[in-house]
Amino acid sequence: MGEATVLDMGSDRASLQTRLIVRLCAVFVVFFLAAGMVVFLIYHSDTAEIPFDALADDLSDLKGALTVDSSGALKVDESRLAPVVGFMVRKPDGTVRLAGGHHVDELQAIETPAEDEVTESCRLTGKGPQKVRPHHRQCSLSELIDVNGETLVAQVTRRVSPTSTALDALLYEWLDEYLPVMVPMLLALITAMVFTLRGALQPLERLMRYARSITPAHSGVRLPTDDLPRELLGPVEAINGALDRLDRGFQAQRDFLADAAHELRTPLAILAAHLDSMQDPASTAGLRADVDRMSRLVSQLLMVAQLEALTIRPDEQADLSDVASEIATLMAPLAVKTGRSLAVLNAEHPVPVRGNRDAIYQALRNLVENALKFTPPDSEIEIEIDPSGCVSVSDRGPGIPEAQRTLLFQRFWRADRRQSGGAGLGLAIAHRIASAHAGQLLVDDNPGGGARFTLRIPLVG
Amino acid sequence: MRLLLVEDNDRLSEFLEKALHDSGFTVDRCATATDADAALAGVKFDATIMDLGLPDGDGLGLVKSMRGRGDQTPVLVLTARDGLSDRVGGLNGGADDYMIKPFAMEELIARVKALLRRPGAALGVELTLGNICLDTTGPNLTVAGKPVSLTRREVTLLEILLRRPGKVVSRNAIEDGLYGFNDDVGSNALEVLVSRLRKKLISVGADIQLHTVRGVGYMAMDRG
Repeated sequence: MGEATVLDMGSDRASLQTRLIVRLCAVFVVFFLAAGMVVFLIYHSDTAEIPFDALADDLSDLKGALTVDSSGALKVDESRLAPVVGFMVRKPDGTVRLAGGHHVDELQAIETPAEDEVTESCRLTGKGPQKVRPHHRQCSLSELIDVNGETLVAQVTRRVSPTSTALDALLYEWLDEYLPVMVPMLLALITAMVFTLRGALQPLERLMRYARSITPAHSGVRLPTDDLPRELLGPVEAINGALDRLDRGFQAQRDFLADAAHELRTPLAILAAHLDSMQDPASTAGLRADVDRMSRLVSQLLMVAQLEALTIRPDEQADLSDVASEIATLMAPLAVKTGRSLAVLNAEHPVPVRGNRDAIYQALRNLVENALKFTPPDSEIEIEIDPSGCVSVSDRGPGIPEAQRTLLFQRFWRADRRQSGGAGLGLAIAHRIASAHAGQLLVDDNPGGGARFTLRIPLVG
Repeated sequence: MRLLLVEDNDRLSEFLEKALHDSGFTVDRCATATDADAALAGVKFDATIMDLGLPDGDGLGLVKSMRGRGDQTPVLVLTARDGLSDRVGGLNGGADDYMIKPFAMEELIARVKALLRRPGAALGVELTLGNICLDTTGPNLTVAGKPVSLTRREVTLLEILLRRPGKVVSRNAIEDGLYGFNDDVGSNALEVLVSRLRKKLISVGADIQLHTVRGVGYMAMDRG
């Protein structure tokens, strides 16, 4: 669910979770590399240990590898020597009898050792001014040997590179020994981190669920602040504060509507009561009709304002057949008085739709009132229910020209401003109610002549 | 008949009092919820006309507390609110009827009379509409003063319609009143009956009409 909702919010947007995981992984990897570097540096600086033991081995190897052939020439079996070693056999006066291997030129300068002595020598290599921190040392051992009665100087040399020592340490010790332990540890660490992060980000999911439930109809819901981490508490409280302020504005709007209804209707009620109390009906009838028109306008304006905040709760239901029958019951006397009649078709079975019954009632009532206005005397208005969630109102009036169909649902629009007594709000209200239900209000021609308005509301389920 | 009128607007209250007085009611007026509460506690009224928006409280709260202490005085609520859910709220709160301001005085008085008749009142024995008069005790029907004979079912149908003159009575309600559980009712039996009654009424010169509201029911209305 976590991933899915994150994806819903834009798949090109990295989630906080992914971002944290990537960055922490990077930190771990850098940390492990750094640990390796530390091992490297420790070996790098530890160059005090000069490999004289190795050189001593090399020297005895050299002695063992020396042979004198029949012509009396000295020979060395180089395969018996370590490959990194340089060697030289010379006379004490410096005449070189034999040399080979690496860095042999360094050996000439070494003093001839005394009898039964081994001369150790270690000096910095490289040209130019001596560096404070040498990179390489050339270490050598020299010894007097006796070859067929002749005293010679046997010398071996090795270049000691601190870097190579450290690299060896890295390669052999770090890779060989630490890595097999460290990689599983690193993986375990990352896995633990992913789970920890998910757990830590769980409150965000909960916040999201609450935030989604906030609608104009449920504007009192606030994001929960209990057991929120301190870092989230600030932003969440700020958002709740913003919601409070919006809610107060919203409440003020609603209060205003209720007050406006009261303030507008009370004077109208007084006016109507005053007119009704007069003894001369002939002269007050016109005024009374004006009051009625004004009252209707006030009702419709309040309805328009109310509809702005109309939201349909998921559990709201209305039965179209029931609503249509009730409208017909209510409107039939008026229709009959003006010589028209009403019929409800296919209302035998309930047609439950998802919606606010009062609002659907109002929308359908407006459609029937509109039809009554345009249908000629002695004709019948048909309210027809369709099990697909439609209710249509057909009249026998002049119909709606194609060009006017887009204007119909605009507020205050009327086909003929002089003739029609209404304010042009009825159809706009019905249209708004349809869209608040995710439904539709359509207009077309009545097959029998006239106009047909169809209100479509989504069925339950 | 003594009525309590709870309305905070003085002018409206005066007009209402005058009209109710002219119709033969005795009216006590209150302008606040507190006064109304005190009045209701001290006197037994036959009905209450209550405005919902009062300066010191909501009229509905008053109705609820009346019902809470078992006071069954009929209440007609006057409201300026016409919300999508207000009307239901008013009746759920214990009011018996409501009217939205502004209202016609004639209708207000008719509704108050209806409320006073409602609890256990004997159903009117003489139903009149236009030039016809049905005495349900007989039953005897007269049109323009001359007796007319009808079958038992026709009389019952006419009585059902005349009890709600000018209002649509649903098909189901009529059938429930006409036929017993065991009666074998054909699908168009009611249509046939209405059409026969309609013809009879026309033939004897009745000036009422029986209107069909297709798919809903029937309605008796005078021709005036």
